[in-house]
Formats: sequence, structure tokens, C-alpha cells
Amino acid sequence: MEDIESFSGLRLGPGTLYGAIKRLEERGWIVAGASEDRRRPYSLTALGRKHFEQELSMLERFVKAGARRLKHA
Amino acid sequence: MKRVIRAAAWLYPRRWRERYGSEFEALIEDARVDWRSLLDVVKGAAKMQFSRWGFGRIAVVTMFAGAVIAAVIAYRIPNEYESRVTLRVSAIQRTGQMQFMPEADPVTNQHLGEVTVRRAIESVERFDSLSRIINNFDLYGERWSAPSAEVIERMKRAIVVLPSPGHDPTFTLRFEYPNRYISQRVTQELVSRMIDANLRLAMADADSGFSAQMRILDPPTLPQLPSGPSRLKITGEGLLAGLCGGILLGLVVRMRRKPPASEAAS
Repeated sequence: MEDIESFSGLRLGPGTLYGAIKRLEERGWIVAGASEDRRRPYSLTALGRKHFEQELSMLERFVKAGARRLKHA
Repeated sequence: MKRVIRAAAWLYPRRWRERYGSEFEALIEDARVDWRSLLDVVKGAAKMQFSRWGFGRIAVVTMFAGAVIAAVIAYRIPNEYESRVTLRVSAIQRTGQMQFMPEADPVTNQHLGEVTVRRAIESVERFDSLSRIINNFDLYGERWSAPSAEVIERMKRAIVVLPSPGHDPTFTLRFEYPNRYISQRVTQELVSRMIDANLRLAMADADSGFSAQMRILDPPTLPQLPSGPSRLKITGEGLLAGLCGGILLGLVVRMRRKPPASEAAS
């Protein structure tokens, strides 16, 4: 949660975080690793990576278009 | 706070707790948490529970919730007491000699009565007249200030005049208020003002064929039992509203859960 807050500035509650983890896991975008002292690491699957790349690419286009329009505004 | 959040995690479905419970507790132990985190956990648990519910369960729970909310609201509404007074309207000849009209047909009698009562009540329900009554009796907590139009409307809604069944033009004036003694006193005041207004109107109409006299048949009653609100009815309405809301919600949830055609095909 602190990690997300440090890079995005958004404070994510534990309920929201675990809601997201459950959804991502159900869609097959992340997979849980072996439990280490009750803490469980998650990693991206190939499907998740593909989706993440698509999302990033869309966001990139969105940011570029926004910046372009802002310049002419 | 961490202990409370750990307890709140029990609100999640059992299958979720079995899968994520242990790591969730570890996260809570490591993280900085406050009351917002608690709210977030409760919200997350509610969403998780809700996402597993079927159509019937949603409808039953919202129906029950609607009834409970309506019942709470109903019990917060103060009791209302209704005082009643019965009036008879009689024709007066132009000479001033009173004449009852048993021989006149009931339709004519009733019409005369209705016109007379309507004119009198319209006069009583004027803004200045009701303002005076509201201030004099300290109604609706409006003393020492001009009552708002909203309060005047509220008082108008509390006054009901209905014809009583029977041959003679007899009417019942009802007034409802949370205090039964005030209800009776205000009913007395209203009926006195109606009689005064009728006298003034009768004098103004002295040239017309005849005018009417109002008499009190039964004095304003002191209500013993509350006349409202009907808490059972309000609760029933809440139950029905909850059921309708639940059916709608159930339909929305069902539609949202259905995967899009393209996704289903792949």
C-alpha cells in the first residue's frame, strides 16, 4: 500500500487493494507465488503482461493527445 | 485500530477469508491504518458479499432493509391527535327568522351547506388568519416570527372538512396536531373563526335571496388516542419500496454479471 502511495500519490485502502487482487487473479492477469511468512508475492502472467502493455499503450496515446490539445488550447 | 480491522475482515465471505485471510492480516500488521482503512475494509467486505448474492437474496435483503428503515422513520414521527367538531348549516330567511330546511331536497341542502362551508373555510385559511392562529397557539415552533409558507401549507394539510352522511347539511371539521390538548383548542378556534367568517359573509350578502347559519352540533373532541401516523402502513410502504428496489437492483446485477457476447464467444 505504501509502495502504491509512493509512486502514484494515491492512498489505497486494504479493502480496495484486496478487491483488486481478487479480480486480477480471477481474470488470470496475476498469479500468487509461494507464501513467505504469511506474506504472498504476486507476479504478472503472460496474459496480464499483454493486457498491461495494451493499457499502458492506450494511456500513452491518451497522454500524448491530451498534451497536444493542451498546447493549442 | 489494527485489531478492529482484523475483526472487520470476518465480514468477508468464508471462501475469501480462507484464500486471502492470512496475507490480509499480515498486510494490516505492516501497514499504516486508520479509520479510513476500516471503512475501506467494511466497504470491500460488503461488495464481496453482495457480488455473491443471487436475485432472490438481494430482493429479500433490500425488502427487509426497506421495512427496517421505514419502521425507524415511522417511530421517529411524533403521534398526531385529531380533534373533531360537527357543524350544521341552516338557511336563514331574509327577514332574519331562522328556518331549518328539512322539507328541501337533500341535494339543495347539501349544495347550500357546501358553498357556505367552503367560503367560510377559505376565509379562515387565508395566510394572515392562519398566521395569527399559529402564533397565538405557538404551533410548529413558529412563535415570534412570521410563519413560512411551508408551515402555513402544513397547517392547511392538517385541517380537513368533510360532509357527514345524512339528510341535513352537516359537516365535520378535523384538525390534527402532535399535542391533543392543543389540537382541541385549535379546532375550537378554527370553528369559531369559521362561524365569524360566515356571519361577515352573510351580512355582506344581505341582498341575496338567503344566507346560511352555522351551528356547532358537537363541540371539539379531546382525542384520547393518536390518529396517526400509521406506522404499520409506513413500514409496509418501506417493505414494498425495498422489494421494488431489490428487484431493480437484482436485474442490474444480473445484467452486469452476464459476460459481453464477444467475451462469451472467445
